[in-house]
Amino acid sequence: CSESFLDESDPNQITTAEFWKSADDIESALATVYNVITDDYNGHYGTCNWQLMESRTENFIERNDVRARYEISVFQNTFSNDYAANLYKGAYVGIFRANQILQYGGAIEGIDTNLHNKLLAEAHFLRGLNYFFLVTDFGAVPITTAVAESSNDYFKEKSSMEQVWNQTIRDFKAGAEYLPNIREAAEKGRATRGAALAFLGRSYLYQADYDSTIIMLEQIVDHEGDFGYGLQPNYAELFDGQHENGVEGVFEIQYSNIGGTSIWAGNEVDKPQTTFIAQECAPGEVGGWFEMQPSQVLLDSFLVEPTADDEVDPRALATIAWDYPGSMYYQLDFGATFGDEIWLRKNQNWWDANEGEWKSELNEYGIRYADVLLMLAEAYTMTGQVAKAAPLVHRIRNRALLTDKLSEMTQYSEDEMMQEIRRQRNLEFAREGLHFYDLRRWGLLESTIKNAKQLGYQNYTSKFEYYPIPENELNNNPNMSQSDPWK
Amino acid sequence: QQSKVTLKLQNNSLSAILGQIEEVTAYRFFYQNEQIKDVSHSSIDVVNEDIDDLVSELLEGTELTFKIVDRSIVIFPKSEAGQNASVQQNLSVKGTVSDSSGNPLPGVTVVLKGTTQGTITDFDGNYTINNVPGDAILVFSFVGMSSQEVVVGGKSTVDVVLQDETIGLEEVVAIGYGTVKKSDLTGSVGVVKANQLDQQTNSNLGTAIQGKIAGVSVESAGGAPGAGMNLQIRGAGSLNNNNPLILVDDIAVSSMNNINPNDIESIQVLKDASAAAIYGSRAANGVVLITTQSGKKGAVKITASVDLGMQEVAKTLDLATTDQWIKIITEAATAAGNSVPEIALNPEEPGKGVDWQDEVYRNALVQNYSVGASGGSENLKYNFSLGYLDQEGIVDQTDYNRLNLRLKSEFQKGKVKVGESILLTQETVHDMPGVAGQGGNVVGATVMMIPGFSVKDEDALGGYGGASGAVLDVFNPVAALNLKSSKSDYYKALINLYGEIEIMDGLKYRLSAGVTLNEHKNDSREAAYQVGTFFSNTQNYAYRSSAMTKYWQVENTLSYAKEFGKHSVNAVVGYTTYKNKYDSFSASKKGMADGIWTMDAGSDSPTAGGTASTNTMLSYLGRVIYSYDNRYIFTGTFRRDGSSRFSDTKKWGNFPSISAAWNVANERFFESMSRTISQMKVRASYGKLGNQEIGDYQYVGAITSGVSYASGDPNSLWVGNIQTEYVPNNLKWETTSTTNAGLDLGFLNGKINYSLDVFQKKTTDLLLRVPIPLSAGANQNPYSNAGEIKNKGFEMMLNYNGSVKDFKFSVTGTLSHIKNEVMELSTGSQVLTGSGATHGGSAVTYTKVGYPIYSFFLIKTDGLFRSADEIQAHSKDGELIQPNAQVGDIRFVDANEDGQIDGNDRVYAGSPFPKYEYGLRLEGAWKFLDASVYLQGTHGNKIYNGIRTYTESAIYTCEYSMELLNSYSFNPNSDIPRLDQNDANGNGVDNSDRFLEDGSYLRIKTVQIGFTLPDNWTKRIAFENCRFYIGANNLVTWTDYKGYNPDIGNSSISARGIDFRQYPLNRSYHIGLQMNF
Repeated sequence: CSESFLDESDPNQITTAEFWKSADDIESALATVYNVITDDYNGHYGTCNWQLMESRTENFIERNDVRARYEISVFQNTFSNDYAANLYKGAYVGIFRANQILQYGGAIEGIDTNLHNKLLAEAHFLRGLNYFFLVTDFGAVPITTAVAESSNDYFKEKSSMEQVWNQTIRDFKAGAEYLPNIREAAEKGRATRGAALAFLGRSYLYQADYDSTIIMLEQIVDHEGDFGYGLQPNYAELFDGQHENGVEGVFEIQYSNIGGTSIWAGNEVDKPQTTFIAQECAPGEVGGWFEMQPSQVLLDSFLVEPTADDEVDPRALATIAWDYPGSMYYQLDFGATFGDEIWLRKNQNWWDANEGEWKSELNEYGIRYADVLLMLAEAYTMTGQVAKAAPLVHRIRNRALLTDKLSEMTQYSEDEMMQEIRRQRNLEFAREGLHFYDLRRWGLLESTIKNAKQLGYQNYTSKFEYYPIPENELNNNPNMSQSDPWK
Repeated sequence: QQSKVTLKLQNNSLSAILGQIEEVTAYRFFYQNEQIKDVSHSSIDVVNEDIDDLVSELLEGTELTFKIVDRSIVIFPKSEAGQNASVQQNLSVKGTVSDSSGNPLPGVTVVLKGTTQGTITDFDGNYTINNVPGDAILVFSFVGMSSQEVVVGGKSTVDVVLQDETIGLEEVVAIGYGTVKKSDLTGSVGVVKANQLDQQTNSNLGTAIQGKIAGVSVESAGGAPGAGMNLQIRGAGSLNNNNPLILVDDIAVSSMNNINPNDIESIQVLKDASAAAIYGSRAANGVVLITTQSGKKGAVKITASVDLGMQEVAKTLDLATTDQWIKIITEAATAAGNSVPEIALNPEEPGKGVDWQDEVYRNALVQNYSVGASGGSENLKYNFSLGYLDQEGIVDQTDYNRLNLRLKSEFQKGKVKVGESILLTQETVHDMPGVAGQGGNVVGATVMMIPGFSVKDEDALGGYGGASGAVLDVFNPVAALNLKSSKSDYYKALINLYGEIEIMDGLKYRLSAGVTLNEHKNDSREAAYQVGTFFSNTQNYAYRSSAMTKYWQVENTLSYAKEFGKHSVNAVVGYTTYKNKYDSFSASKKGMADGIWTMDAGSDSPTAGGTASTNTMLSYLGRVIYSYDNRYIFTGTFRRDGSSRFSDTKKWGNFPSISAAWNVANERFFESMSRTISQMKVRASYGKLGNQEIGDYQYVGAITSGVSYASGDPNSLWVGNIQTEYVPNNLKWETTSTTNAGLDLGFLNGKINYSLDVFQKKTTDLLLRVPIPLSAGANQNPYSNAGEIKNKGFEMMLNYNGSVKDFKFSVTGTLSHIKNEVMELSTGSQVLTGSGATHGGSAVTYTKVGYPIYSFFLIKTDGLFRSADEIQAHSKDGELIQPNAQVGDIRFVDANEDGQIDGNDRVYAGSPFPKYEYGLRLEGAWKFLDASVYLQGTHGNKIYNGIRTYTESAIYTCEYSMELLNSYSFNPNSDIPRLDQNDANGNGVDNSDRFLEDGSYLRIKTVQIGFTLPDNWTKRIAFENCRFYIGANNLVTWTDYKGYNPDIGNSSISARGIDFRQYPLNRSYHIGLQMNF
């Protein structure tokens, strides 16, 4: 035998040296960044986080069976909590991948400039999105914009919250520059310029920079035709699985039963592109795990204002299920089966007999156009332009078949208008993961949780506005420290 | 045994010459001094001469002749030839000598103590000795066995059973690429012989050696039929792989699980660097050399044995009945202001309810059969065996069966020897099927399933009942066992061929080529079902996989053994190559018709997968053992390994070791003491070993494929490829340096033997997936060489063989102590997070510098609050430390004194590794009865009881322990906190020490009583020997541990000591029969 006997190459995978040669390589690398955003455990838009986002509010109750998730919902979580750590990790996995695209993909020569710019813009958008997730859930975290070359590069210092916001905005802006307004059919679901602008609007709004919010969102709302945006005529159609990637999907998370077949597979390649959030939120009677259930508080909020025809707000009917005359749920008579319980309809396959094999194909909304309208309305209101806000809020109320209050609203005080916007946002986006962040920026988190006597409200203190920096970051990064409220 | 003699002597008496021959061979002479005192020779100079030729030469011209029986040479006057002994006496004694398994021993020397008068047993073990005074003492001796003295006391028949001498000086010990006399051993080697294995009732080799070798820790890998054992030699030195290198008849194998204990001749464990260094880069965790039985010169021997056993679950947990459960859940729900679940209001099975443990565990039969044949002549030795084991699991529907076929033979002609060892195994295992939901597996589901739910439901698809309503989603374990199955078939072949040629005197070249082929097929099925409301499977589902591992090795060695007067040299050099190839594929489909499980019958959701890998190794090795006058012995070993697992510049590693020993007892000045201290040896060694168990291709940056997303309208698969991990820089071997000092003592001519080893094992450049910050964004942490672990400890063995008249007995004890400490980890502040014990719960084990590997770090509990005053008093700067506490809640210790209880209050709470492990073996025989008891235990280890986090916390709606009926809610004197589903105080949190328990135990592991039929009976029915026995395994366990079994067996190093739904260990009762023809 000679020494070459010791040379073995991996038959399962190609090496980094063989990759990063063409636009196709960048294209396929981009898919992996979307992949992690939808990861069941690590993804901001994955199965677990919908529950983490909603069960911390007064609108939902989390079931006590998965310890780490329950701890978060009753404000007993500590820096050891795995589910929060998963989100933190997931965002950085996305950033590591986006950095590879920008660094290695950016260096590939011979790609058509427009195509190259468009692909890199998408990577910027996705990196910005991950920093957005980090800054909104964890606050001050490390920033990394290059691929680590040696082990020393792993240990990044913490940046201030402001620096993380700046990075987020820089990336979204870089995305907005070269992303297309509209994606052709084959690319539906991928980031657009509209999505980048909408997330810029949201970023500024979360920082109470209302002027910048207006600048970003007017670019969309004033030219909504260019983007093909509008409101879906019937609210329920947004969640019926028949109108996906429609006029309201500014950034829509795609789910389809394609790819692998096993949702518990260890390898990504064996997993289908589906979510089991619908199974998690379905009642036990139809094979669900009832992990998260709407609260009476949410039902009561819906029943405050009936429609112009004195019916129940159609958004209530599309969002939750309870015992009202003719209420059918998973092909069962609701009252007979579930009595006085309240269950979720939104993003559930409630028209089927059950949640089948736990592979839901219903898309989720990262941002929908109604949110863009209400964010812009909020920014107008907060800058004293209530009259400009009124028509936007009117569009939302109108679609919900509520009484026409357009002229009345034009006369609202800022406070009155904000109250209306808060109410509409709560009803419009229930279960869409926005309420916690809305309450937080309005300064209403503590009072809302305590007034509603939400499960675990006794444990709530202001430090729960953000997650602590996870144990596995602190233990492994000597340059990192815990956030102040968690020290 | 050595039958050739090389000797050079001048002017010596015959008795001196015979003394010299005894020193260099295994032969012993017996003669009367009177008869040979006049014989002498002026010079002897023979090279490699046959012993019988040499003795003939020596006796030439005298009136003497001789007889060789096995290893004894008796010299007697020619006039007595043809007689067994002189006929001039009045009292004559006769009898039979046999070994411990009842086989007659030919060639045993029987002498009258204090004289040289004696004889040798014949082929059937019989002897007659004449002219014996009534008060004489007969001494029976045989090489490799303990000698025995028997007072004649006027009897005319004296039958004797000789016991194997386990640490006899002349014992030959395998040390890899050769053997060495025990007296020449300089390293630390543990030996277990076949007769210590209790193989009659132990069907698994790991179980059979548990506690029998000091310093070798054997923990069960769960009680599932066919489950193996976790072996660890001298503590956990590594953070990635602590499995020793196992060789069966010189071939590396991944597990010794499929070896039939009946086939074993001996097991040697190379513990220190000196002993293991010859195996270099694979030896850091120690080496286990398993030698299967070889044929011996002599007539054909046929053996057969049958063992039948009944197994039962050794312990069940005290769980609530439906009524009791309702009482507990009602209290816990009411305290929280919650409504009770439907099943508590209207239980399907009221009153006592379903005893799920009773439904799942069963009395299970185990049957073990083997037959063998062996024998040999000058030119051919052979050993053949066939074994069949059929074991039902104590969990319903689980079982294991194994068919072993083994053939080992050796052909010799002149200076050439060729031989082979072939082991073929077929195993079939029905494992517990995996279950969805929070039960985790069938065992977990059995414990957590609420007794109010029914086992069966005729109306449900599949026919089984299940959990429903607002309860924990636990899968009906009986449904799981009947609706799902997971069957594995293993086909294993181990084939080793060798040829050896003696090039010149003492110099041998050996070529051995071996191969192992392991095929693992899995066949998993899941019928369509609806189990309660949580679990449904709409279509029949089948999964198949097949994985093949092919391994081959070629080893060339040149060895040289020679004695020059008082100098002796034993050397070996070698060049070896290894290659290991793995290849697997799997497929699944759905939608078969009921009862049909082939892939072609499925119509829906097809999947397929597969991977492959290869690794190779090249090695150079060498070893020299030099001994002077049997007093001073030095060993030097060197191995150089090249591995495909490292990058070009890091492929090669060097592993040297040196050691020395001093046989103090052979010194002249020691002679006066040699009557009491028959052996005394001190040993010392130092050396370096490697570890490369990190998997293949780790140094190459790879692109992961299939990390995809859906896009487009309509959606189609957008296939993603990316680098998901960082590439390690400059990865190299993990190195373990071991320093060992040892002492071997023998008293009263080997009646008492003692050995002690003290060691320190330091592992540096720890190969480890060092956790990098989450913010680095890697899916998995990259390997790096980071950190240092130190294991130090001692191990000792004490053995006593004695007899009182016909009653012979032996006592053997082992004790080992290991202290493990992490000295250094990567960045210094680095902490490795281990494993947790609840679904989605916090970790309970961590690796930190200054503590043992993956030890428990938990919040301390300090009893219950008995009054509101106590809650008030538990404060810091006027603020309550536990503001949500009520009377009857747990008081936690605010270890960091920051006024609150959180993850920062975790403190070191103990290690999952025992401080002490011990074993004690008692054996006795009286006439045709024999008995053995083997006890084994651990001390000082902690176990985190993961099942109690569910059954005793009352925050989960699942089955509860009966203990909760005695909680504070019902009994204000209780130490069990009050019941409250919402548990604002965190009584049920999974990171406190509430569920951490002492894992120490002492167990009667095996007991056996045997009855050997008297000779005159067996002879009549054509048996040579026939023994019946009854026995039991795991008969009694003394422990404070509340779970099923303290020997929990969790193979992952980070989860050691975490009891999370392990298959319970069984207790078994056996009867059996062993026959020799």
